[in-house]
Amino acid sequence: MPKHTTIDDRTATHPCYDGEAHQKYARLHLAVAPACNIQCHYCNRKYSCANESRPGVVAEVLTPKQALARVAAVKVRFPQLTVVGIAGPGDALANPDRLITTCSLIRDAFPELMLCLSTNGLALPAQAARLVDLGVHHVTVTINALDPTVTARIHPWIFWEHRRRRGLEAARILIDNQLAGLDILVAKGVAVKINSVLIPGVNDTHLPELNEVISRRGARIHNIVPLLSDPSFGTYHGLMGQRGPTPSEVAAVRRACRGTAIQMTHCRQCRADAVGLLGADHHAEFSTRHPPAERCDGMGHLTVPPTFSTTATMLFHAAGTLPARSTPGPFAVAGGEPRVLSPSSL
Amino acid sequence: MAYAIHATCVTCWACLPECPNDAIHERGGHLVIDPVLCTECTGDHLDPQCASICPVEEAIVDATGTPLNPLGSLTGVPAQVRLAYTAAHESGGWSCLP
Ligand code: SF4
Ligand code: SF4
Ligand code: SF4
Repeated sequence: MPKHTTIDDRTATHPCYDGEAHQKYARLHLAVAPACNIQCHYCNRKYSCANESRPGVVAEVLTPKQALARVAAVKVRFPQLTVVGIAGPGDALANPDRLITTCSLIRDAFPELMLCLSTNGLALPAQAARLVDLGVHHVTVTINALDPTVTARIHPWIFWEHRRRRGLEAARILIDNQLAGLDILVAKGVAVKINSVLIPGVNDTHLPELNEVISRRGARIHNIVPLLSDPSFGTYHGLMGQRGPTPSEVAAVRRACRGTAIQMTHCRQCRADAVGLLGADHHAEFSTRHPPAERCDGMGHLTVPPTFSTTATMLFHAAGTLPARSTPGPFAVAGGEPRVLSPSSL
Repeated sequence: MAYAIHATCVTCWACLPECPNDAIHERGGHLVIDPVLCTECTGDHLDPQCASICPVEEAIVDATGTPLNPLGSLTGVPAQVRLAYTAAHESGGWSCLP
């Protein structure tokens, strides 16, 4: 695979960012980040990281070393793998230690791979410079509104500076950090995609203005994704009867957005632990469990029914598919038992 | 005085690194609070850190068993609606793995 030279070259091989690339290049999303620092009304944290239905059992989220082993295994199966994304089940930046260890391991072992991540943006100003140092090329920031009265209807609270903040106070801090983070990333040359969840009656009329602002600030792509709010998800929106938009409503809002950020229309709302080409998910091959019915909410975060499962156990497969030459190297860790995430195993 | 983590915890790990006393540990696949080490954050923070980042209602309880984040306080879903959902979706419907 050729060395990537410019951001544009790299973007052209990123299946989520380039409308053509998604037919040719593969991507892998790694679930290494269980914690989150905000609440979204379309998210049920109960299922976003719970691999098993038994309450309180440690969710099998990948450790950084397991994540590296998984990358190695998937690369064998999909030589066209170009992108490794850190997406959920919580917020990548709410787990800075795991994120940084994972990115460093992958970057050292596979310098040709693009690293991308998704975040709600709250911790971006604190982490953005470090992300660039780690070689992260693409960042997706979910920004659903820039008006605190709208944001507060989507995000009821944030955890910020040792307190749970609510309402308008929380909304203002979140928006300020999202925009400050966007500015830092753009200034450092990172390709930034903004995701916005379209929620009829809440932020639909506000999104064109948001589109204009994020375009002006240098966001490359704007991905407007429809709210998924099936009541079975158990989310606030699902249980309170907030409907998602119709396809024509999504199209109308996208048409009303006139900023320079490219509208993304090929997003499959892939699962956070997806493997493979967009639209052709090979997740099951790398999992010892049946493919679950969960769907990503379009932000790399999952909104899932109670049958949710994640992919940690595919490391059995990972160990079996590694080529001999790749050991002892950093992949020797793949030979061990899959372990549940714990800080001591980082 | 100490808090405890109740069975509704989803093991998202958010609380563990926030504890100023390293009182939260993994034990047998669950997160537990060491009652000897937990100070309810007195002297360190205005609010107990675990209960301030925890996203799950009723997951963290005080010494009397009272949830610090009661039903409805985090998601905004009224308690009756949440209880009806829980009864329909979580009782027996999805079983434990061995
Ligand atoms: S959707 Fe993502 S950012 Fe929002 S509460 Fe869920 S895990 Fe956190
Ligand atoms: S109340 Fe404070 S000291 Fe006690 S477990 Fe929670 S964070 Fe730790
Ligand atoms: S923050 Fe709450 S749900 Fe998450 S691990 Fe701690 S007690 Fe459990």
